[in-house]
Amino acid sequence: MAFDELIHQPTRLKLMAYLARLGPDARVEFKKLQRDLDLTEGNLSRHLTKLEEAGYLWVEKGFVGRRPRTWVGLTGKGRDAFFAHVNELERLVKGEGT
Amino acid sequence: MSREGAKDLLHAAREGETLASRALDPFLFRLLAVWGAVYALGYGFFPESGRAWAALAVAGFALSFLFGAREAQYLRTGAGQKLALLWSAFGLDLVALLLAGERLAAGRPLAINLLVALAWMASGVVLERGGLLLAGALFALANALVFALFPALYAPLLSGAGLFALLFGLYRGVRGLR
Repeated sequence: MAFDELIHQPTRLKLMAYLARLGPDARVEFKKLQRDLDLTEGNLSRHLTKLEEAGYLWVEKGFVGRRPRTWVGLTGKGRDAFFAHVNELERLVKGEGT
Repeated sequence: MSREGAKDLLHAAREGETLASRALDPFLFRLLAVWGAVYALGYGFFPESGRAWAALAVAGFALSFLFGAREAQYLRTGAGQKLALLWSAFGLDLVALLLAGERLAAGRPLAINLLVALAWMASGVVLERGGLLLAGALFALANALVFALFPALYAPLLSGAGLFALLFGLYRGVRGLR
Protein backbone atom coordinates (compact mmCIF):
# COMPACT_ATOMS: atom_id res chain seq x y z
CA MET A 1 0.00 0.00 0.00
CA ALA A 2 1.32 3.45 -0.97
CA PHE A 3 -1.72 5.48 0.01
CA ASP A 4 -0.65 8.80 1.40
CA GLU A 5 -3.27 10.44 3.57
CA LEU A 6 -1.69 13.85 3.08
CA ILE A 7 -1.77 13.75 -0.73
CA HIS A 8 -5.12 12.01 -0.73
CA GLN A 9 -7.00 15.32 -0.26
CA PRO A 10 -8.19 16.33 -3.80
CA THR A 11 -6.80 19.90 -3.80
CA ARG A 12 -3.41 18.73 -2.54
CA LEU A 13 -3.43 15.92 -5.10
CA LYS A 14 -4.17 18.44 -7.87
CA LEU A 15 -1.43 20.73 -6.59
CA MET A 16 1.11 17.90 -6.48
CA ALA A 17 0.06 16.74 -9.98
CA TYR A 18 0.51 20.28 -11.30
CA LEU A 19 4.03 20.57 -9.86
CA ALA A 20 5.02 17.02 -10.89
CA ARG A 21 3.92 17.63 -14.51
CA LEU A 22 6.12 20.75 -14.75
CA GLY A 23 9.22 18.59 -14.22
CA PRO A 24 11.80 18.01 -11.47
CA ASP A 25 13.49 21.42 -11.66
CA ALA A 26 10.33 23.51 -11.88
CA ARG A 27 9.60 26.37 -9.52
CA VAL A 28 6.36 28.29 -9.50
CA GLU A 29 5.53 31.62 -7.93
CA PHE A 30 2.71 31.63 -5.38
CA LYS A 31 0.46 34.00 -7.38
CA LYS A 32 0.71 31.91 -10.52
CA LEU A 33 -0.04 28.75 -8.58
CA GLN A 34 -3.02 30.45 -6.98
CA ARG A 35 -4.33 31.68 -10.33
CA ASP A 36 -3.76 28.47 -12.31
CA LEU A 37 -5.32 26.26 -9.63
CA ASP A 38 -8.07 28.78 -8.89
CA LEU A 39 -7.52 28.78 -5.11
CA THR A 40 -7.83 31.51 -2.50
CA GLU A 41 -4.63 32.79 -0.91
CA GLY A 42 -5.52 31.33 2.49
CA ASN A 43 -6.53 27.95 1.08
CA LEU A 44 -3.35 27.61 -0.98
CA SER A 45 -1.19 28.71 1.97
CA ARG A 46 -2.71 26.07 4.24
CA HIS A 47 -2.13 23.27 1.74
CA LEU A 48 1.42 24.43 1.02
CA THR A 49 2.26 24.54 4.71
CA LYS A 50 1.07 20.96 5.25
CA LEU A 51 2.98 19.67 2.24
CA GLU A 52 6.10 21.61 3.20
CA GLU A 53 5.97 20.22 6.75
CA ALA A 54 5.87 16.71 5.30
CA GLY A 55 8.95 17.47 3.21
CA TYR A 56 7.04 17.13 -0.07
CA LEU A 57 7.56 20.75 -1.14
CA TRP A 58 10.13 23.43 -0.65
CA VAL A 59 9.05 27.05 -0.25
CA GLU A 60 11.47 29.89 -0.81
CA LYS A 61 10.80 33.56 -0.15
CA GLY A 62 12.65 36.34 -1.92
CA PHE A 63 12.36 39.57 -3.85
CA VAL A 64 12.22 40.48 -7.52
CA GLY A 65 13.14 44.14 -7.47
CA ARG A 66 11.21 45.41 -4.47
CA ARG A 67 8.37 42.97 -4.85
CA PRO A 68 8.23 40.02 -2.48
CA ARG A 69 7.88 36.64 -4.18
CA THR A 70 7.26 33.15 -2.84
CA TRP A 71 8.55 30.26 -4.92
CA VAL A 72 7.33 26.70 -4.60
CA GLY A 73 8.80 23.44 -5.93
CA LEU A 74 8.38 19.71 -5.46
CA THR A 75 11.07 17.78 -3.58
CA GLY A 76 12.31 14.34 -4.63
CA LYS A 77 10.46 12.86 -1.67
CA GLY A 78 7.29 14.64 -2.81
CA ARG A 79 7.62 13.34 -6.39
CA ASP A 80 8.10 9.78 -5.15
CA ALA A 81 5.13 10.03 -2.81
CA PHE A 82 2.93 11.53 -5.52
CA PHE A 83 3.71 8.88 -8.15
CA ALA A 84 3.36 6.05 -5.62
CA HIS A 85 -0.04 7.44 -4.58
CA VAL A 86 -1.24 7.76 -8.18
CA ASN A 87 -0.05 4.21 -8.94
CA GLU A 88 -2.05 2.97 -5.99
CA LEU A 89 -5.16 4.82 -7.19
CA GLU A 90 -4.74 3.36 -10.68
CA ARG A 91 -4.38 -0.11 -9.18
CA LEU A 92 -7.63 0.40 -7.30
CA VAL A 93 -9.46 1.63 -10.40
CA LYS A 94 -8.30 -1.45 -12.31
CA GLY A 95 -9.84 -3.54 -9.55
CA GLU A 96 -6.57 -4.86 -8.16
CA GLY A 97 -7.06 -3.38 -4.70
CA THR A 98 -9.76 -3.36 -2.03
CA MET B 1 -11.58 3.37 -0.58
CA SER B 2 -14.09 2.62 -3.32
CA ARG B 3 -13.24 2.30 -6.99
CA GLU B 4 -15.42 5.35 -7.76
CA GLY B 5 -13.59 7.38 -5.12
CA ALA B 6 -10.26 6.42 -6.63
CA LYS B 7 -11.55 7.42 -10.08
CA ASP B 8 -12.57 10.85 -8.79
CA LEU B 9 -9.14 11.37 -7.24
CA LEU B 10 -7.38 10.30 -10.44
CA HIS B 11 -9.54 12.82 -12.26
CA ALA B 12 -8.31 15.55 -9.87
CA ALA B 13 -4.70 14.51 -10.58
CA ARG B 14 -5.26 14.59 -14.35
CA GLU B 15 -6.83 18.03 -14.00
CA GLY B 16 -3.70 19.26 -12.20
CA GLU B 17 -1.51 17.84 -14.97
CA THR B 18 -3.63 19.49 -17.66
CA LEU B 19 -3.39 22.86 -15.91
CA ALA B 20 0.39 22.45 -15.73
CA SER B 21 0.62 21.61 -19.44
CA ARG B 22 -1.12 24.94 -20.14
CA ALA B 23 0.99 26.95 -17.69
CA LEU B 24 3.02 28.56 -20.47
CA ASP B 25 0.01 29.34 -22.68
CA PRO B 26 -0.37 33.06 -21.80
CA PHE B 27 3.31 33.58 -22.66
CA LEU B 28 3.01 31.60 -25.92
CA PHE B 29 -0.04 33.61 -26.99
CA ARG B 30 1.83 36.86 -26.38
CA LEU B 31 4.65 35.57 -28.58
CA LEU B 32 2.11 34.65 -31.23
CA ALA B 33 0.77 38.23 -31.15
CA VAL B 34 4.28 39.75 -31.41
CA TRP B 35 5.36 37.58 -34.33
CA GLY B 36 1.96 37.89 -35.97
CA ALA B 37 2.51 41.65 -35.96
CA VAL B 38 6.03 41.23 -37.39
CA TYR B 39 4.67 39.09 -40.25
CA ALA B 40 1.63 41.31 -40.89
CA LEU B 41 3.80 44.45 -41.07
CA GLY B 42 6.79 42.89 -42.81
CA TYR B 43 4.95 41.05 -45.56
CA GLY B 44 2.17 43.66 -45.75
CA PHE B 45 4.34 46.76 -46.15
CA PHE B 46 8.02 45.85 -46.68
CA PRO B 47 8.18 42.46 -48.40
CA GLU B 48 11.35 43.41 -50.31
CA SER B 49 13.19 45.52 -47.73
CA GLY B 50 15.98 43.69 -45.89
CA ARG B 51 16.54 46.65 -43.56
CA ALA B 52 12.91 46.90 -42.53
CA TRP B 53 12.82 43.15 -41.92
CA ALA B 54 15.99 43.30 -39.84
CA ALA B 55 14.48 46.08 -37.70
CA LEU B 56 11.22 44.15 -37.27
CA ALA B 57 13.06 40.95 -36.38
CA VAL B 58 15.20 42.75 -33.78
CA ALA B 59 12.06 44.32 -32.27
CA GLY B 60 10.33 40.92 -32.29
CA PHE B 61 13.23 39.22 -30.52
CA ALA B 62 13.60 42.04 -27.99
CA LEU B 63 9.91 41.82 -27.06
CA SER B 64 9.97 38.02 -26.99
CA PHE B 65 12.90 37.89 -24.57
CA LEU B 66 11.36 40.67 -22.48
CA PHE B 67 8.17 38.62 -22.13
CA GLY B 68 10.29 35.55 -21.42
CA ALA B 69 12.15 37.34 -18.62
CA ARG B 70 8.84 38.48 -17.15
CA GLU B 71 7.40 34.97 -17.34
CA ALA B 72 10.48 33.60 -15.59
CA GLN B 73 9.52 35.70 -12.54
CA TYR B 74 6.47 33.46 -12.16
CA LEU B 75 7.47 30.11 -13.59
CA ARG B 76 10.79 28.39 -14.26
CA THR B 77 10.96 24.96 -15.79
CA GLY B 78 13.54 22.88 -17.61
CA ALA B 79 11.36 23.14 -20.75
CA GLY B 80 11.33 26.95 -20.50
CA GLN B 81 15.14 27.04 -20.36
CA LYS B 82 15.36 24.73 -23.39
CA LEU B 83 12.94 26.99 -25.27
CA ALA B 84 15.09 30.06 -24.52
CA LEU B 85 18.16 28.25 -25.91
CA LEU B 86 16.30 26.95 -28.92
CA TRP B 87 14.93 30.36 -29.93
CA SER B 88 18.29 32.05 -29.27
CA ALA B 89 19.82 29.57 -31.72
CA PHE B 90 17.05 30.37 -34.18
CA GLY B 91 17.84 34.09 -33.73
CA LEU B 92 21.46 33.41 -34.68
CA ASP B 93 20.31 31.51 -37.78
CA LEU B 94 18.06 34.41 -38.69
CA VAL B 95 20.90 36.91 -38.37
CA ALA B 96 23.08 34.65 -40.54
CA LEU B 97 20.37 34.49 -43.21
CA LEU B 98 19.86 38.26 -43.12
CA LEU B 99 23.63 38.78 -43.47
CA ALA B 100 23.72 36.40 -46.42
CA GLY B 101 21.48 39.02 -48.01
CA GLU B 102 21.11 39.26 -51.72
CA ARG B 103 23.03 36.08 -52.52
CA LEU B 104 19.99 34.13 -51.45
CA ALA B 105 17.80 36.46 -53.52
CA ALA B 106 14.19 35.31 -53.83
CA GLY B 107 14.77 32.16 -51.80
CA ARG B 108 15.53 34.01 -48.56
CA PRO B 109 11.95 34.39 -47.28
CA LEU B 110 11.29 30.68 -47.80
CA ALA B 111 14.57 29.72 -46.09
CA ILE B 112 13.66 31.90 -43.08
CA ASN B 113 10.13 30.55 -42.85
CA LEU B 114 11.32 26.94 -43.04
CA LEU B 115 13.62 27.70 -40.11
CA VAL B 116 10.67 29.26 -38.26
CA ALA B 117 8.67 26.07 -38.92
CA LEU B 118 11.55 23.95 -37.62
CA ALA B 119 11.79 26.06 -34.45
CA TRP B 120 8.02 25.62 -33.92
CA MET B 121 8.31 21.87 -34.32
CA ALA B 122 11.26 21.70 -31.92
CA SER B 123 9.26 23.81 -29.42
CA GLY B 124 6.40 21.33 -29.76
CA VAL B 125 8.77 18.49 -28.89
CA VAL B 126 10.23 20.37 -25.88
CA LEU B 127 6.79 21.30 -24.55
CA GLU B 128 5.28 17.91 -25.46
CA ARG B 129 2.58 19.73 -27.43
CA GLY B 130 1.53 17.78 -30.50
CA GLY B 131 -0.51 20.74 -31.78
CA LEU B 132 2.58 22.94 -32.01
CA LEU B 133 4.50 20.19 -33.79
CA LEU B 134 1.69 19.77 -36.31
CA ALA B 135 1.32 23.56 -36.79
CA GLY B 136 5.05 23.81 -37.55
CA ALA B 137 4.85 20.97 -40.09
CA LEU B 138 1.80 22.53 -41.79
CA PHE B 139 3.49 25.94 -41.84
CA ALA B 140 6.53 24.43 -43.59
CA LEU B 141 4.39 22.57 -46.12
CA ALA B 142 2.11 25.54 -46.87
CA ASN B 143 5.13 27.82 -47.27
CA ALA B 144 6.86 25.50 -49.72
CA LEU B 145 3.68 24.90 -51.76
CA VAL B 146 2.64 28.56 -52.03
CA PHE B 147 6.23 29.65 -52.73
CA ALA B 148 6.57 27.10 -55.55
CA LEU B 149 3.10 27.27 -57.08
CA PHE B 150 1.77 30.78 -56.35
CA PRO B 151 4.78 33.05 -55.71
CA ALA B 152 2.72 36.22 -56.22
CA LEU B 153 0.48 35.23 -53.31
CA TYR B 154 3.35 34.40 -50.93
CA ALA B 155 3.70 37.81 -49.25
CA PRO B 156 -0.05 38.65 -49.10
CA LEU B 157 -0.93 35.25 -47.62
CA LEU B 158 1.81 35.47 -44.98
CA SER B 159 0.73 39.01 -44.13
CA GLY B 160 -2.85 37.77 -43.71
CA ALA B 161 -1.70 34.82 -41.60
CA GLY B 162 0.34 37.26 -39.48
CA LEU B 163 -2.71 39.46 -38.93
CA PHE B 164 -4.76 36.44 -37.89
CA ALA B 165 -2.00 35.32 -35.50
CA LEU B 166 -1.79 38.85 -34.06
CA LEU B 167 -5.53 39.03 -33.39
CA PHE B 168 -5.76 35.48 -32.03
CA GLY B 169 -2.67 35.95 -29.84
CA LEU B 170 -4.02 39.26 -28.50
CA TYR B 171 -7.42 37.76 -27.75
CA ARG B 172 -6.01 34.75 -25.90
CA GLY B 173 -2.98 36.55 -24.43
CA VAL B 174 -4.93 39.48 -23.01
CA ARG B 175 -7.39 37.07 -21.40
CA GLY B 176 -4.44 35.47 -19.63
CA LEU B 177 -2.86 38.73 -18.41
CA ARG B 178 -2.23 38.96 -14.71
